[in-house]
Amino acid sequence: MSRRVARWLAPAAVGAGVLLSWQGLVTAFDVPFYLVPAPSLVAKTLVQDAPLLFDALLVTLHITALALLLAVVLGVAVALVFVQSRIIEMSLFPYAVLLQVTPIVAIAPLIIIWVKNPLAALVVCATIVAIFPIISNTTLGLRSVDPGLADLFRLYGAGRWQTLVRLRVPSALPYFFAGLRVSGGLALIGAVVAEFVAGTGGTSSGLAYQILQAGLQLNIPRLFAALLLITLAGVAIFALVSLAAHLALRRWHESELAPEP
Amino acid sequence: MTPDPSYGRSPRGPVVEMRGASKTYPNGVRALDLINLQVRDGDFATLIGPSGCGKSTLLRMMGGLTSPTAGNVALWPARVAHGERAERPHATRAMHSDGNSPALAFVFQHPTLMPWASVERNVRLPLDLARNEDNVAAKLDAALGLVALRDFARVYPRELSGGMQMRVSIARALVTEPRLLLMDEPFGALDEITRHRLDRDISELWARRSLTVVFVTHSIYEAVFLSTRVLVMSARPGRITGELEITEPHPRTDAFRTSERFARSCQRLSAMLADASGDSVEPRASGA
Repeated sequence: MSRRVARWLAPAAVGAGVLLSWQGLVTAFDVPFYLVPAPSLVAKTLVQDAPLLFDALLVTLHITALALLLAVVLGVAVALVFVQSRIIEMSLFPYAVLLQVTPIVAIAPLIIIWVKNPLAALVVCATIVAIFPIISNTTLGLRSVDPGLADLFRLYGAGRWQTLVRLRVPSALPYFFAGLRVSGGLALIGAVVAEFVAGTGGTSSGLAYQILQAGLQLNIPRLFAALLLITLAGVAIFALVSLAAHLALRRWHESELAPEP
Repeated sequence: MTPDPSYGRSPRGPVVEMRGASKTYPNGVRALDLINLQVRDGDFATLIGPSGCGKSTLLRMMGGLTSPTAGNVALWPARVAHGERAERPHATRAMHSDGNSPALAFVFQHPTLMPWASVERNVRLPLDLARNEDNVAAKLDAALGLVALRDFARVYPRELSGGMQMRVSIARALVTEPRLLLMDEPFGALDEITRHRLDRDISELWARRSLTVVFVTHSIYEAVFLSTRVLVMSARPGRITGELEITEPHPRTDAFRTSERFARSCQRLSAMLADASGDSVEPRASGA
């Protein structure tokens, strides 16, 4: 069996095995569906509640996408400011760390009070969660310039702008994408957590709100279905970001080269 | 055999001049001590010495990538002098008469190519940085032709062997038609066969164009094969302790490598290097 087939087949076999034994155990021990629903029931619920759940998914994805976009734009902007001078970085970096270590659950209520528009409030929360890997990785990347190439640019009298666009930005790309991969997941987590906090106030209709409601109503199959959708969304975001990284780096960076056969 | 083009080019004015140039690092290490040297138009001057003797620093000083802590460095034709306070490199200021191309180019120890750019985009970088848009295609083609890489214009650096990468680096240096080419142990990391080939190529290029080369190496054979002048340096703090002229006409071929003249020059150079390192013990002790 070729390695390429094994790469897909092996995890798929594990997944199928887990689902089958789950189904088998639930049936064999007659576990009530309000404790652990069988995979078949979860699938059925997913189809039945599709209109409700997919609407909720769209809301959550909307927040996630906006937050990730904002995190990229702001994060890259902050990184560009940081690399202009060590003084600026030294003065501001601790506050970026502060942003990273403060639990979003703790500050979300404040943000929801301060920001009137509910969608905007959720986006702000998710952005705060997602932005740090972009800032730190991009800053590191913009600084990780081959000293020989830096000398070369100096020798040919490259200006600040030329050096930024032709040298620093390309050097930073692999680092930026590594950060983006982490931030993509974090944006989704941020969106879900913020929805939870906002949802307790009854102002949301995203997937987290559906999970919350389903939990209160002991509608466990729907809870599982919503959970499944969030997980799939996370995987899809990761795959998309990985694809973007692959397209940008495949010609030259070690991380995206095809392994030796 | 074609006549040596370095002779008969007249007048052979200075291209680089260093007077009392010294370099002391902030931690007190003296890298270079009172260097006086003149590189004249059409020279193929090689700096040779033990590792750590400051020959790379000397070359970087000529390129304006570092400045002397005492004394000064001057470059022609732009008469850019940079002494203790000079900070910016002078490649852009030392212009050709056409006002576009930098008069000097540098080839580093490593190929130092942009991994994200094709061979073509790497080679045209100096033109792009100078915002020089005249005849880019022709200049690019000529530079790639000189190093026999025309067929590889769209290939990325990591798809090339080490020797080919070095040739890209040389093409990039030549694309601006520099008057002065500074090379810092460019072939040190390559295998001997590739190295001999590139040495031959460089010798040919130098002979064909009005080029002045300052070359750094620690290989006696390479120095003798390539140079019109070899400058011998002592161990740290680096000083120039001797000079050997090699009159063999260019371009030089493999036949020269096996000739008696070659062997004699190598012997003399080797003796001079031994003298230089023996010499350096006393002044270093008294200077410290």
